[in-house]
Amino acid sequence: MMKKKIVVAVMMALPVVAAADGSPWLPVPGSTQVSVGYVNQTGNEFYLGTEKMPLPEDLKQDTYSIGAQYGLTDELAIDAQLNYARISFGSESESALGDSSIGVNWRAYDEFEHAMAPTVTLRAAALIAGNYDVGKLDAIGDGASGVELSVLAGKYLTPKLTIAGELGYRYRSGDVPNDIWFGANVGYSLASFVSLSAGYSATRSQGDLDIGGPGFSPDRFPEVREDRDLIKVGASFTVAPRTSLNINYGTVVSGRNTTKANLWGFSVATSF
Amino acid sequence: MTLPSFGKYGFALVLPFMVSTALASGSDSFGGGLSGEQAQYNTGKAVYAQKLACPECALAGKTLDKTQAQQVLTDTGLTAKLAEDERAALTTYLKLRFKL
Repeated sequence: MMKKKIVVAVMMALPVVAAADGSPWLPVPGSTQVSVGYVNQTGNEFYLGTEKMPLPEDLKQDTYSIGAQYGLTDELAIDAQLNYARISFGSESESALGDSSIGVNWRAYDEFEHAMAPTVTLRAAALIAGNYDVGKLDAIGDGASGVELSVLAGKYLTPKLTIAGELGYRYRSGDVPNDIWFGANVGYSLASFVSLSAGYSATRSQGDLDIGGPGFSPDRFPEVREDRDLIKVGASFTVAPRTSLNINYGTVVSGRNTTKANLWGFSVATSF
Repeated sequence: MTLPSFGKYGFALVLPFMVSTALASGSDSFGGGLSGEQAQYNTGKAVYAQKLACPECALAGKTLDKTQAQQVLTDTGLTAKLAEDERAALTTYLKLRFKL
């Protein structure tokens, strides 16, 4: 019975959140890019506070997503993403519709109009809690919606070589701590049909409560501080004139109250 | 519902039931960027700005409109020095931007 209570408390505490990972460059005006993605996260170690400890078994999360971006004008675009996740660890598993996001992107500065400047895009997004029930054993989140704001900047150093970065702030309702995230990415186009990328991203929670630390109890899970640092690499292949296959790998290199996970991501994107 | 408090080591006993959700909380996304034709479009903008319209380039200071874009696509002399993939990206950009 106690085990069930703990699971309920935990499942209510930390919902699936689509981490922002945007681009300062907007889609073609009047066109839509639709992508279908799958991300597998697996880990056998966990940061309890900042102390890394082994897990008795691998834990695994599969996230399926569908997303779309639409270019309204040269300077304005909207996007949306929906996630569905399955978590498994030993005999425990959970599947549910994750939170969704709807965002608007405004390109405030265009590098192609000012030779030395980067492209700068401001993004605002609404995070909408999934429609899962939170008062039962198989709940996957805590139903917290929110908003996030970020600044994205990027520059084509040459037509083949890009650098980009993002700095954002996420607010979520209830007791869920706010987050600051930042990241940097380098991209290189090997040819018109293949490009490579490498990047780093970090999330810093504004909370101060550690799992198992002073004052912690399972009902305070929404207040736990969760940090992570992720490095990632990727490749994108144009498999048809308007369709690309994207393969990504990432690994958590440090963290706090989070799993040291390895991630594989696959997605197909097409435009019309 | 009454739930217990946990010390650091006592907590390890229940960790297996907690970590799965902690993992879920940061479902890192690789998405959000542009790829395929959308990326080509932006690369084409860079080709135009850096290879054709730079201060020392043939089209420096000229306004890029539909007529100009058509000329770039048909005048092979303007794009003769571009690599094949640069020319492809430029073509994607101009055709999509000006609906050519």
